[in-house]
Amino acid sequence: MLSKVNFGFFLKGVRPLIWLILFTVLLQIFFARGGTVYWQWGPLSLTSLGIINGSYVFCRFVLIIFMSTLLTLTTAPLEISDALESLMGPLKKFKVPVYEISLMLSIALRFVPTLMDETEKIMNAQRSRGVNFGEGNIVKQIKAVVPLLIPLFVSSFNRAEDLATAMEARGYRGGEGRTKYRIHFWKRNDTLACILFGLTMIVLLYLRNW
Amino acid sequence: MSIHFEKVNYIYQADTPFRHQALKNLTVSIPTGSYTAIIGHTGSGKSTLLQHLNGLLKPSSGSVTVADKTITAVTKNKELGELRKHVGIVFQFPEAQLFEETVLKDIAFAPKNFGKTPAEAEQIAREMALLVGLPEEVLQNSPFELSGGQMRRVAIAGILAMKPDVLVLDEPTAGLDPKGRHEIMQMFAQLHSQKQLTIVLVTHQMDDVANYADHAIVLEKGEVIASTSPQEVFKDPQWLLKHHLALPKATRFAYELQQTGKVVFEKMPLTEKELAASLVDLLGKGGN
Repeated sequence: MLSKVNFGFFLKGVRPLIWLILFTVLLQIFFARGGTVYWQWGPLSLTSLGIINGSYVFCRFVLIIFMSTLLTLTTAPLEISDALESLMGPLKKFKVPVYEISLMLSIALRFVPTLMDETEKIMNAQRSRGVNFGEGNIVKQIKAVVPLLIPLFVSSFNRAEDLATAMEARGYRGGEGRTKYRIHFWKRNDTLACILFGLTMIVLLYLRNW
Repeated sequence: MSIHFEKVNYIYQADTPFRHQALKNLTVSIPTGSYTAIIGHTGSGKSTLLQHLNGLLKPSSGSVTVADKTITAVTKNKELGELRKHVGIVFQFPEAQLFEETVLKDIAFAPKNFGKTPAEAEQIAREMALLVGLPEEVLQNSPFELSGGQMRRVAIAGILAMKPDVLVLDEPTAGLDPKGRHEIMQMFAQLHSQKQLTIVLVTHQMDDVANYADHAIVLEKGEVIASTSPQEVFKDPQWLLKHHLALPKATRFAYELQQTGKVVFEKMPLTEKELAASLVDLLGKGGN
């Protein structure tokens, strides 16, 4: 494979969703009407159009999962947010706060693991005070979340304030005229990828209308 | 309540590339009514050990016995509620657990969870607030309006309100000023002597170990390398150096003094008081 990603990872990505996919495919196969009828029983019917639709749906789902797996496994979150920023660059002309959006995105991504750690810690602390998460009826379960969410909010706000102070202390003043640590260059591979993608799209469009 | 670990292994994220064994075949006892200090480097398994004490983690193999309750890998979560009532854990920076509208309600949270009526819980909360030295007038305030030191006290009171038999403290004085640190450590010492509470203290402060603990467990890379009295632990500076541990201030002073070759301490002092006493003693004998 071009991306050097083990094929097993793609299959692993599909596995949790396989039942949902199969369910949708079966619905398509048995309930879609049209084309030659092969078999019929009450409202259920097996038709040629149903089978075609079903395989379409299957391929679509699997491709979506494969593509997102490929993106997340080959590209670091920071690179994605950098890419978004440079791709949205032209929108600056329309006063879209592109820089701020990408900063928000990278900060959000950066704090996902921190927040997960924090959640774990607070859950442990509240468990020690006799809260049972995920037990009892629905009202009890919702009530159990309150002692978790409030401390999480409080600490997130505190952390946001600390972060803002730390950024200001280091002279952060926003996007205008700011240089970057990671600079992106357009390489030959990028041009190739774009051409390849364009060609694929043209072929697909042609096949569809033909 | 006696606590005993028997051949406990704990593995984080088993069956993944991130597999990490935090406890390795660990066998150790924490005596009833003791003030036990757990010492060890970051990553030595202190926090993992601590979370086994009230069943937040279950051993991957081996067993943990607390009083008459034995926890193994297959113990059901439902059976752990009773245990949590008896073992109170004050986590690092416990003020992160505060969430109620008022200080009083927050302290009363645990007893209410463990089956006390609201009136009883409030009664207990008032007692505990008094015990940790919170002024009466803050009890109806929001816990988030308090100073850092007072928030810490509220959180500790919230654990004490469970009336545990074993109190586990994970660096309870981290981030406090020296005065607050001293007051809180004194309060724990008092609880230990007056209510015969078993205390387990995880700390990096060797002075706290020397001043308060009567038993010390030293961990390294998930294994117990010593479980003995603080006196024994601090006996051999070479051993401590090898395991990257520090000496209490008073003991270090005594060793350095001894290295000048002018005095010989019969028994190494651990605390400032002991140091002063032995110095007076030595001077009395007319040592130079």
